[in-house]
Amino acid sequence: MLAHKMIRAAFAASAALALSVAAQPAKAQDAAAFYKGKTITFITPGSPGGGYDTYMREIIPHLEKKTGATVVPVNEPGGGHLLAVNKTYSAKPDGLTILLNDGEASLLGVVLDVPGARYDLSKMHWLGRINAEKRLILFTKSSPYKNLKDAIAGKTVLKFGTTGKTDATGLATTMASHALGLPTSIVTGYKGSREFVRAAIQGEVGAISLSESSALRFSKGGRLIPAGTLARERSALFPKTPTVFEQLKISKENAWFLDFHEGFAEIGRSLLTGPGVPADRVAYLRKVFKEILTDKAFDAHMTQKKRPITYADAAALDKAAKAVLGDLSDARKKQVKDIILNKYYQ
Amino acid sequence: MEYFTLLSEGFVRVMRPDLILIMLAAIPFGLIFGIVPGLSGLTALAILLPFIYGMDALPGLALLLASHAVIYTGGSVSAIILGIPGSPPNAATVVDGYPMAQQGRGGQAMGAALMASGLGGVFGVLVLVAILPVLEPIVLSFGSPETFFLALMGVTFIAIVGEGPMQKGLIAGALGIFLALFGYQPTTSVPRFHFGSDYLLDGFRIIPLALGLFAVPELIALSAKGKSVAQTGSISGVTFGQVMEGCAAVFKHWWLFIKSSTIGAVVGIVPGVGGETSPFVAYAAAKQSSRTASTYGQGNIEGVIAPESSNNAKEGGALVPTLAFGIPGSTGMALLLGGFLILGLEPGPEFLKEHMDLGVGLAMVVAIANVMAAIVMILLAKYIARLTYLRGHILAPLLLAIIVLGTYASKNNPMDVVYVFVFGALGYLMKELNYSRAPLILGFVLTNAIESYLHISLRSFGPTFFMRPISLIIIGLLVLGLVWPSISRRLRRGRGA
Amino acid sequence: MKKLEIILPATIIVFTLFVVGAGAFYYNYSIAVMRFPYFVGAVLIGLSALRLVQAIKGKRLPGEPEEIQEPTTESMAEFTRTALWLVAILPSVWLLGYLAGIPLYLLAYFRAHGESWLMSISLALGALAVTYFVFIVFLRVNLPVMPLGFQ
Repeated sequence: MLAHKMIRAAFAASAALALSVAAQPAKAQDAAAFYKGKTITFITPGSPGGGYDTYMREIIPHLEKKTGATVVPVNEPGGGHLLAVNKTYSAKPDGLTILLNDGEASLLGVVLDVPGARYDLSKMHWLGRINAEKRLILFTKSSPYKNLKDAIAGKTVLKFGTTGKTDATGLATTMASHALGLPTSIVTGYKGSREFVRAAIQGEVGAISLSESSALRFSKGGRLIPAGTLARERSALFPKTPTVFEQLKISKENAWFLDFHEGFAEIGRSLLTGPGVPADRVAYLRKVFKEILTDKAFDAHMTQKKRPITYADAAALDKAAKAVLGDLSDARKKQVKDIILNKYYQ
Repeated sequence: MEYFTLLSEGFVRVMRPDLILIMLAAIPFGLIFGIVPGLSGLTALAILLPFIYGMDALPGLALLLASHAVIYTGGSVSAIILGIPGSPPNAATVVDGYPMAQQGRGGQAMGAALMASGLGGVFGVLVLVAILPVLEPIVLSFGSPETFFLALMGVTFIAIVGEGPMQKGLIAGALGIFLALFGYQPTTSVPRFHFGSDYLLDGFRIIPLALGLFAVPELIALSAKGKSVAQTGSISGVTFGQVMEGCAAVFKHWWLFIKSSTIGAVVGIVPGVGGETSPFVAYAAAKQSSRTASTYGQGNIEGVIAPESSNNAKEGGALVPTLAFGIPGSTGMALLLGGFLILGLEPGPEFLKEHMDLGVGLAMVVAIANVMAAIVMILLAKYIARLTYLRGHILAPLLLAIIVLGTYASKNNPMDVVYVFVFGALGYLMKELNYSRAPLILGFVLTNAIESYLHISLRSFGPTFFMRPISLIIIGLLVLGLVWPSISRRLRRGRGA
Repeated sequence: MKKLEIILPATIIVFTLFVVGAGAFYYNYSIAVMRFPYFVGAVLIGLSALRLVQAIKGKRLPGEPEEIQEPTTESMAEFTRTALWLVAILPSVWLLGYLAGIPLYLLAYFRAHGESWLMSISLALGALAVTYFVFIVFLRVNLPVMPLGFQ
């Protein structure tokens, strides 16, 4: 379809732009001069005090120091984390609006054609990734199954708790259930991950999927049992929990869904700026964020706060976004949509 | 015995000069955010959060907790003297507090509200510390079905809360529920009735709704007459004696105080019902069992004590799930949880095992903040009441400017300001036509919980989801609440009244 | 008042029908999405319709004051003037930004309502100081300070 051609063309164009920018070191100085004394609006979809917000506020002093600009934090949690993207997308293309993005939500918005998603990710510029987390499946004590193999062979319904149909918890649960053939039925509507963790501990549901850091936090004391990591490689926080690929034989067709999901997770918490921003400023911002996010002292500080940094550069993010959006055929998109929205809600 | 040791050890722990200084700074901040309509506890916490980076755990959390715990203490004063709830839950206090002020009993109303707030806050903390050691089983016994039934019980109070004809109150409550249905549907993630508007993706917001309904009609009245609040009613100067008289009233109605504070603490403990509900539930419960129920809505002091004691008691209760599971019991607690994480602490059962002292210390901070705030406000009440002597032509536009600024500041969204006026038109009509506005707010804050938890309960437990001990107890209370008025009426008629 | 007693429930009915109708026929929401709106909408319309019939018949509900003042043309004009003056703060802050809009709005309001120049200007300046120091400097609220919503 035309849209996909456009996305591909845009990816190619942005890659070309990135290359041409790298070849012009002189202009970078202009960009550095541009930011001195300006005001940068730093938007995040996270609410104050949450993970996104903490990352944003920890980065701001460093950003101010490096650029000489004043940075104003803006929390814009509305519209299922999509309004923040809209706002960045439609901001003046001067490079003074930066988004700390919820990768999963913004990509899902495109895949599912969510009302309220008014942006074209392929036209926006990735500036770097702050962190990405692998996801795990965890069973509760009251779960009818003790491991994934039993669950797949079992007849009893395995109830998963999620916070919403179109967010990271719903995506991980549906993609994993489909790929592994779990007898899943989803209970959704919990407010925030902490709510469904409560439900899992109480035994309202039999399983949940969590990011690795949340999984570590809530599985303490054996209240939740990690059953498998939804990734090609094991989680650094759960070195003893095998991936689903290690535990089970997964066909190529089914593995596609797991890789598709991992592509989303790969984007993680990343930085973006809107379309039309001059290439030298994009390059400058990329350089600044790389310096901040690969700084040893900052990394150690954030690790101690249990907000780890796993930096990735713009090229890697471009590739990951393309893996999720670029190669999606219409038939595949329809199938994925049906699995996410309908299959496990009967 | 152990209980008192815990309490006294906690008390000693927070009696540090640095902590007291922090509380002294936090309390006026919280009070001002409470008094100013539009600025609420959430905004206060959001603004304070960045300040705690780099602080130690106890002082950092004390700053957040102390300011948040006293918001409703400040908010009650605006509700009483101006008829404008300082923060949304204070709307329940307007119903009887404002008429009292109009009748020249503003001093008594303020005294009662402040004393009830202060003691209610302490009560919530006592409950919290009492159950700290056995927190896990208690919180775990409240699952989704229990949350659903508690929310449902809240809805049955729509008919009782507020003043004016019951039929109109029911319309208001149903309208509140209906307005809450806009925006993302919790279980399907479909943006219901968004009509292409980004704003409506998240539905209507509580702050513009509460301010529109309560503040705009008062502003119109003030500026139309051009007279001061004092002249429109029969307020004579508020004296310290009147305020003390109001304080004493709380002790005269001590059973009502205990009941309302308990309601507050329980609603606070259950995550998901929404702390905004507790003052309305406490008000309704008070009215239902009161011998002077017929004067509720016309300036009954019981109608001030009930919501205000539960309002502050719920903060202690809301700390329970926050500490025990890292599951916030109210919207404010969600932000507080952010504060914990910023300071590198992770609430949960392990947290309590390792940091029981910190948990008790935080509870003590809430208690002390409540007492200090009440004292400050009781001393200042007389002076704040002088606001009512400002000419309407001066007070109305100044209040309007503050409301516009505060509403904008709460979410950085200009549409919120526009909706203050949209709901203001509705509020004006409702006030003119004797439609009680409190049920509308109550219906609005409960709907989301009812819809989500009914769905979750059905999916998790099937149609017999109510066959759980605590659910059955709540259902029993609910039925009793519905049947009680007609029983008591019959009893009274039997006595030949 | 009789007119308003009819207008309010009638408006609620039309509004509810419109919203529920849009959900059912325009958006074609599934039954899972519409279950609550149908139920609550039916209750709301039922209650409002009952009230509408009563209002048309002129029935007074128990608990209402016996004498209801009918608005006169004068009081209606007075109300319109008051309401317009209050709503005027919206275009002021939109056109002039918060920093200039709020003090100028207050100045105009005070002057138009017979306050002295001294009083009006000092209050407007006070409002300017509060807006700037409290909201912008201290609270760091991202207020649109420039005209026409420009940052």
